[in-house]
Amino acid sequence: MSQTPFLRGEHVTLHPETPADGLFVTSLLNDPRVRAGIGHSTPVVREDHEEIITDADDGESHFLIRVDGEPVGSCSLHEGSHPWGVGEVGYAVHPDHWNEGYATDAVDCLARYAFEERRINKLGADVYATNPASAQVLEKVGFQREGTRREHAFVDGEYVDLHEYGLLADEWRE
Amino acid sequence: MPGPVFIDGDDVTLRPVEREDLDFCQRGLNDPAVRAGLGATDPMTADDEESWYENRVLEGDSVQLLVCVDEDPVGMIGFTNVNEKWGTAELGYWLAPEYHGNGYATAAAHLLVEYGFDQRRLHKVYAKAFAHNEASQRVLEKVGFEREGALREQAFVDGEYVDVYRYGLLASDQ
Repeated sequence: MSQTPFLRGEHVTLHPETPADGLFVTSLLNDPRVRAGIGHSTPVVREDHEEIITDADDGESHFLIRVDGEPVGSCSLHEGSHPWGVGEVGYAVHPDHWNEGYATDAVDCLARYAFEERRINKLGADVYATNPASAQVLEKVGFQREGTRREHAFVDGEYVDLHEYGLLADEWRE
Repeated sequence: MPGPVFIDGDDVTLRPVEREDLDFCQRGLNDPAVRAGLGATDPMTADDEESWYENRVLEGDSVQLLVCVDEDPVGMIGFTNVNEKWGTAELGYWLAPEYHGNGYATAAAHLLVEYGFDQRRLHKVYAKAFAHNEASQRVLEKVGFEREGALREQAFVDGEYVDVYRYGLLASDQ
């Protein structure tokens, strides 16, 4: 794969997502093991993915996560529309590549990009209480848990708590 | 002259927003005393109000109501970010400064929350308040909301980063 990375981590490279990545990204987001962790409850077809990419505004970036050129996941940064300097990160790694540190590596890349290039002051992320692997990713990057929204989400037939995490630019630089 | 009563309470009534009410809304949302509590930093023109009316009130699934005392509009209240899959909605409100301190916001919030649980089958209503906006926190606490988290230095208001408190009220809390 000859595509130049937009961001480079220790193992992963992040590439601006294009409609050509639709097959991989839809197979990722439709996978029940992935959906259960990120709250995707509707089927995503390739045209939906194309729309997400092409309708994205300036503050919204979607990246394909690759390792040695092969796609392993997808991640995103959404900058809030208010002038507070807050962004939100999201990430999903294909189950074939879980437990290899790729999500942590990717989120670390996103944090560096957000703070050092986009002048974002704070990153936030939400994690279901039922998804401890995802919380571990955030904690490794340095996020702190700031709150627990009680029974906030509905996943697999039950209301589950939603943990809210935050990372300030100053903390990340330390 | 506001429209007909949609939700009737002892102290306040909640009424649909008519186009004629936009003048009142515009005055409120540009008032520094109101904006400071909402984190609204953009000037609102009459055209902005028109497009908000068409995109958010007439279209879309948010609920926007005028808070009235007798026949006079005193503020606005509503649900945004309605998530039918999770059964959640975000509560927001503001009162014109001359009507602060009379319990109108609490009365209106009571009515809207009850409507959300009893008529819209919501599972949970949530809200945000700046750490320095104690009046707004009191409204939420009186209605029964619990503080679920404090997002550290999340917002930028009047020259400094301030914490944002998250509140939540479950239908089963009632």
